Amino acid sequence: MVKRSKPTNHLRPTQMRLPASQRGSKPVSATLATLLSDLRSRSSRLATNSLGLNRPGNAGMRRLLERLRTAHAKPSARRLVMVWAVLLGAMVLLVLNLVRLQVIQAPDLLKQARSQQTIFLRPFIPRRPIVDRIGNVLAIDQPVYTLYAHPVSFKEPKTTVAEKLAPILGKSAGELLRKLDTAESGIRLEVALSENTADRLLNLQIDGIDLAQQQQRLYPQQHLTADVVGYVDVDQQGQAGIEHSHKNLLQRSIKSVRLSRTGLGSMMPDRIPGGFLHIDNLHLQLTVDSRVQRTAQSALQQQVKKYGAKRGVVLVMDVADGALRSLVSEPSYDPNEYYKANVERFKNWAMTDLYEPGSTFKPLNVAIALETKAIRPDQIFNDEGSIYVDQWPIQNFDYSTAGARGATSVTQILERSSNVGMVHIMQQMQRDNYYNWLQKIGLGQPTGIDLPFEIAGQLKDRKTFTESAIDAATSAFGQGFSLTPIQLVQLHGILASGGKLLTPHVVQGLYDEAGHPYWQPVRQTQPQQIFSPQTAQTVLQMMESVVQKGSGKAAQVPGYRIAGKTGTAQKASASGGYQENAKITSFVSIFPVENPRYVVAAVIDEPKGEDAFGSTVAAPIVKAVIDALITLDQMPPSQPAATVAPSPGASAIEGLSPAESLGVEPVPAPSSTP
Amino acid sequence: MLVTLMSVALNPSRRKRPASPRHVSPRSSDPRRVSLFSPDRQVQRLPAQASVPAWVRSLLWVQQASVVATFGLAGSVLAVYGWTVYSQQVWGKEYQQLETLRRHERQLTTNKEMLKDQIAKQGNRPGSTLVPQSPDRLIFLRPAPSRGDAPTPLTPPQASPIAPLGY
Repeated sequence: MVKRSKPTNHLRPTQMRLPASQRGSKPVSATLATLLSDLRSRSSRLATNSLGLNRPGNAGMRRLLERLRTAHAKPSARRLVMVWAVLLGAMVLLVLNLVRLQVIQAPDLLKQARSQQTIFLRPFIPRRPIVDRIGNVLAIDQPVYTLYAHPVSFKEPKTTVAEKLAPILGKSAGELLRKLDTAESGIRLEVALSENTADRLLNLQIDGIDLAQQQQRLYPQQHLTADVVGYVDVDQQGQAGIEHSHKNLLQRSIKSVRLSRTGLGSMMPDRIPGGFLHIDNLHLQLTVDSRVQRTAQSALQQQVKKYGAKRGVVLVMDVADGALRSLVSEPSYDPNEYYKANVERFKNWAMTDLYEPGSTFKPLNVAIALETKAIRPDQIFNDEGSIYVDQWPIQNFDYSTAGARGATSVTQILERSSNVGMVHIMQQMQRDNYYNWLQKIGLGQPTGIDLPFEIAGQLKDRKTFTESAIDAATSAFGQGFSLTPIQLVQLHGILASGGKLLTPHVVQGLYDEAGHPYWQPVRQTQPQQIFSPQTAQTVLQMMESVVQKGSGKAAQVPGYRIAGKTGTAQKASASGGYQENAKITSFVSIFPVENPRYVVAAVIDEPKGEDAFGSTVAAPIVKAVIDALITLDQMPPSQPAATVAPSPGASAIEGLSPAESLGVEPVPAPSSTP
Repeated sequence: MLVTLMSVALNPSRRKRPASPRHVSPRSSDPRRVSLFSPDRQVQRLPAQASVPAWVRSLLWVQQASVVATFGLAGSVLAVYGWTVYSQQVWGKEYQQLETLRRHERQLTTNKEMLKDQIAKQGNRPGSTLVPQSPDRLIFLRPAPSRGDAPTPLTPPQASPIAPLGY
C-alpha cells in the first residue's frame, strides 16, 4: 500500500491537514511521538554524518531527509486508525480464509489429506495351497502384476520411458513406444509380471506408470493333477475339481486394512485389526500321490496314442479307507492355461460319464451269487457258447473261434470271460433278489466322492428287471445298466476290502505347516459290509486266476499275486441299441491277493484297431501302475522264490506266505533274495 | 497473578515493617532515650517470621509437588510419544521384512515344484539316462533267523568303575 519510493508525498499532506487542537488533545501519544522523532533525528544525523551529507554539495539530499524527519515526527490519529483498519482488515481476511479452509473446503481437503496419509494395505492373502499325499505342491497362489502406462502424466519423453522399460519387460523399445502412442492413459503394457520384475519397475520411479496387483493360481505340475485339482478362473473362483468342491476350505477372506502413513512413508500400525499378521499356514492335503499319478499318466498317454482312443482314465484306490491314490484322465488340460483348453475337458469323465461296464462287472455277479449261496465256488456249468434268452441271442465273444466250451467251472467262466456261463450263474438266483443285490451294492446311486459333478449310475426299474429275463441275463455280463468308472472302482473295492462298501475320496484334510491335522472330513467309520470276507477272498482268487491263466496275463508282475478282470463292452448309442464299432475297454485289478491294498482300474474309451481289448489296451497300463505302487510302497513279493526253503524267519515278514497252500503256481521271483 | 501472590506470601513482613517499630517499643517516644542501641534494650522477636499461615504452606507444598509432577508427566509424555513413534517405525520395518520373507518362501516353493516337474518330464523323454524303478530291481532282505539259544554273557562288559579324574 505504502509506496516506499515517495513516502513524503503520502505523509506530508496528512500532517498538514491535521488540526493543532487535536495534536494537544492526546498528551500520551504526543510524548511518544516526540520521543520517536528525537530518536529518528539522532539516527538520521548519524547517517548524514557518515554519508558526508553535511558537505555543501549534498544540500538537496539533506533537505529531503529533513522533510522525512518532519513527516515522521508528527503523530497522526488518522494514521493510527488507518493502521488499525489495515490490521483489522488483514485479520478479517485471515479469518475469512480460515472459514474457507475449515468450513467450505474442509471436506475436499480432508479427503486429500486422507488420501495422502492413509494407504489401503491389502495384504496378499493367498488361497490355501493344495498338496499331494507326500507334500508336493499341486496348486499355490502367487501375486502377479499388470503394468499400466499413462503417457499423459509422463515427466519424461515417451522414448526415454520406453527405453527404460524395455530391458525389464524384455521387449524392444520400439514396440513399447508404439503401444504408448495408442492412448493418453490406461495402456496395458504387460500382464502377469512377477514380483521381482514389479520391484525393478518401481525402482525406476517413473511418473505415469502404474502396477496393479492380482492373484494368480499356479499349478506347478501342469497337466498332472488337473482332473483332481481343477482350476480357478480369472475371478479366483474354483471351476472344477477340488478347487470347486472345496472352495470353502481353500478361500480366505481378503480384508483390506486402512492404515495411516507417516511423512516418511512408513506405516502406522495403530488401526490394524487383531490377527492381521497371523495368516494361518494351513494347506489342503490330498490322498493323490503325484508319483503314481505321473506313472499312470505316461502309461495312459502311451496307450491312448497307440490305439487312437478317444479318451482314457486310470484310477487307483487304497482299499484301507477308499482314498484315491491316483486319478488320471487323458486328454487333460493345463490348469495354468485353462482358457486355451477345450471346455469338455474340464469335466472329469470318470465321474460324469456313464458306460456299461461289461465283463469287469462279472466278478461282482459271482460274488452276489456266492454270497446268496445260489452257487458253490466249485460248481460246474455248461457253456454252450451261444444261447437264446427271450429270443435274444447271447453268445461268447470268442464263439466264432472257440465254439461251445462245455463243462466249465466258475473260475474258468471268469478266466474266459464267458457270457453264457455268467447267464447260467445268475439264472440260479431269483431276479427280484438279484435286483435287490444290485441296489445293495450301490448301482443307481452316486458313490459320494468328494469331487464335484458326480452323477449316479443307471439301473432299470424293478418291474422291467424282474419281468423280463433278458435284463437279468445282460446284467450278468455287465450290460444293460451303466455306471461311472469311479463306481466300478468302488464296486471292486468291496471285493478288495473284504466285503466293505468304501467311499472313494481324494481329500485327506487341512493340515498346518507342522503336519498336524486341523480339519478332516467326517467319514463313515464303519463302512457297510456287503459281502462276507470269505466270499470276497474266493472271488479274488478266481480273479487271480484270470491274470495267471486268462485274459489278464498282461498285468502279471513276477512274484506278486495280482487279481484282475478285463472288460470290453459295447457302447450304447444315442438312438438305442449299441454302436457298431465303438467299444470301451477296461481292466480292473486288485493286489496283492493275500492282503489286498489297491484297486487299480484303467478305462479306455473307443480304442481303434482289431486287437483293441481290455487285455491289450488297458491291462498294460494297470501293470505299469502296479509296478510303480510296488516300488513306491516297497511291497515285498507275495511268493517266495521256488528255490528258497521256507525259513522260520519268513513269517516275520507280513504278506509272505507259501504259494503252494493256495494252489497257485509259484513263479520264481528274482528279487526275492535270501 | 500467581507470582505476585507468591511474593506476597513469601515476604509478608515487607508491608508491615515500616509500622512495626512504633508498636514494638512504646518507649521510643521517650525524648530521654537518644540511642536506639542501648545495652539494656531487650531483643524482641520479629512478628513477621511467625505469621506464615498453614494454608499458605500447604499451598506452597502443593505448588512444589505439582511442579515436580508436571515435569515428570511432561517427561513421560515425551517418552511415551517418542516410543509410539519409534515403535510404529519399527513395526513398519518389521512388516516389510515379514512380507519379504513370505515372498521368499513362496518363490522357493514355486521354484522347487517347477524344478521337480521339469526333472520328472526330462526323465520321461527318450534318451534320458534316468531309469524308472521297477519291482524286478527291488531287493528285499529277509530278517536272519535268530541264532538259537546262544547264552549271552551274564556279566556285560562294563567300563572301569574308576571315573576319569580329568580331561
